[in-house]
Amino acid sequence: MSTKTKALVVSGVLAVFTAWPFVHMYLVSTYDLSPWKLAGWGMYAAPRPNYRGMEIFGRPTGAPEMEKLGAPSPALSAEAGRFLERFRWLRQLAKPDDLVEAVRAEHPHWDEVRVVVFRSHVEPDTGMVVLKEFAYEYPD
Amino acid sequence: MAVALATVAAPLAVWPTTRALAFAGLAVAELAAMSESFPWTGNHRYFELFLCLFAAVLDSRVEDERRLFLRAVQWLTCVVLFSSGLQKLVHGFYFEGHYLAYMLHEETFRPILGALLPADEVSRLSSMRRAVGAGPYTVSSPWFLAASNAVWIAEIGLALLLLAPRTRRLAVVGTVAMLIAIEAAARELFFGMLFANALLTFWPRPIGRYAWPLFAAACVGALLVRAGWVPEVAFH
Repeated sequence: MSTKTKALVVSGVLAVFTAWPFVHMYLVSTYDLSPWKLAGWGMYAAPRPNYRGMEIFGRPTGAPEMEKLGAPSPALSAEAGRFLERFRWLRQLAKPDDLVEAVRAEHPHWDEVRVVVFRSHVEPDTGMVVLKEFAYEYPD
Repeated sequence: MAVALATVAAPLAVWPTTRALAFAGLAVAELAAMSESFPWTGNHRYFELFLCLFAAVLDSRVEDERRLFLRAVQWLTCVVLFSSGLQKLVHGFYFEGHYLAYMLHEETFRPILGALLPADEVSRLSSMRRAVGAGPYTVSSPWFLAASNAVWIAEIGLALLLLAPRTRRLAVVGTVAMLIAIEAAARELFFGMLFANALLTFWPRPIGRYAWPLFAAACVGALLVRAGWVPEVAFH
């Protein structure tokens, strides 16, 4: 490869590297992505939440209301833990498909599944720690 | 796998004839480590990946390519510094000092930030458990607010000053000083060393080559801490 070609390749890579933080900021504002990760250089820009949790609900066939998953099996708890770790950084870009599949395997009579995820968040306007939640509905 | 590959590849970087191969190997090692840790991969890994890729593609024995490599590293450094300040500006946790007040809970931040606040305020903020309902993470000290806003202003401003040859030396000194102040609290040892090395490429003379014993000593120190042979010092 000639020096000129290498210069073109390097310039292209640098252009992507320069544009990415702006794309990253868009993803943070649209999908609540953590500014700390994925090379947006937003580490220390926002407090990292120290609380995460979730609740899972399902609607049995023909039932008018959803019921809450009470005592998850160890396998389901492990799957939920894996999803929460992804959610910690990717937030709404993390989809709980594997978790919902595991829930449906244990509760085949559930037609609908709702996964509600909570996390603590510091409000930039007030400086207070509040709870934020996001719900995933299956099927969409 | 990543550690084994890096261990084999790193020594080959010493010789010019095997340097490209070594950095290609290190780039693969970085990718392997990133795929294992995704999405909580540390940002320094992305920076290292680009450095390795450029070092693998550009031949340091060819003057034009050596200069291109240097310019590429410098541009990466400016983008990281500028983006870091811009992210703080966009997220808005530094205007009222919320972020740094929140960090008073952490032991490594307390001695540095605590010096800017009255004792009772340090006690109030550091005792908050960060649980839902905690707060407000607000401060009364104008010095604390000034320091909080100085962080993002300095990051953006120094990145721009690094670009201009006339202000470059001043910007390198300022950025290294800021980096030392940040790392005293954040203890991001590897990111700090990597970024300091990248900053030294801006200096008109190649002083980076004289600084390597300092960075090697820091790595040996980190190894000794991890091995438990010297007292524990918090670092990431």
